[in-house]
Amino acid sequence: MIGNDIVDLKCAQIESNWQRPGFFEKIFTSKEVNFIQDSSNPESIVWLLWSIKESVYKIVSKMEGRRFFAPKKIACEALSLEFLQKSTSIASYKMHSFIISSTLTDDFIHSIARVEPIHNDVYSNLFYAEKQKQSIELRRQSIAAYSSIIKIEPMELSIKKDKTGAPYFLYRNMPQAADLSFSHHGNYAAYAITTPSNYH
Amino acid sequence: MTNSELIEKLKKIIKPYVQDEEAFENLSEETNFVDDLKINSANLVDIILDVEDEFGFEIEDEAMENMISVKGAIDIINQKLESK
Repeated sequence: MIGNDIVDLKCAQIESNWQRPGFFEKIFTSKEVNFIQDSSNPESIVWLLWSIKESVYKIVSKMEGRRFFAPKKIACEALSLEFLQKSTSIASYKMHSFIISSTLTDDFIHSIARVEPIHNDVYSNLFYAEKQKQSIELRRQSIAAYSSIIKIEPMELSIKKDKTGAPYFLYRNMPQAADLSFSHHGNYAAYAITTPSNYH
Repeated sequence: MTNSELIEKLKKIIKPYVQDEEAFENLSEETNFVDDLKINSANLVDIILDVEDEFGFEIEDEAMENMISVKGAIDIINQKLESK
């Protein structure tokens, strides 16, 4: 299963005051607060950890068939950062373990989470678009990507949302085993797809 | 406090974070903060902190899980006010 989350940093800076008293206590575990405090750029780590939790939450809400708000239940256990540009992290939720790959730029942070153990490939793209165009573009691009992976005409593919609001592919109205995740925030949108191993 | 008084108080609290004015105008108990009002999920924390400040009680993590819709918020606030 796969989950992704994008944070438009300019938007996040306008919408949230991460230094608000009580903010950390609602979201971060003590280990995560240490990651933030140990960093030369605490604000980046705040949004990195947030996008890690959101990307894992997208998977967890599919697994449990429900939506809820419990950011501390998704705990980042380890974080490895390269020049504040790329990060690999491990997070846990109940008995599950997740591996998350993140990309950081001055403008956005994008995280892609997968459940351990990982077998399959990931197909993902991120783009900049006006808000009104993001949904249509996400659908168009992810269908184009999936159609070239499984060698089926895009016209035979569609996307619906399940009861938790998560998107999934259908081929001629048959739900597909591939897993799909959408995310958008501010001017950025991104999708991630993972397919069962017989589609190399 | 009646539910409609509570909803009015809640509307004042969430208004700064709402990104869909039409959905806000048509708000009902079923309204979901993120899906319907297009509130950024990071602002759910602000809403919870604002509710705590406004009503003077603490919302612990377990109770916080359902603060994702108008109904969820009203239920928690009612529970907390009753046990005050």
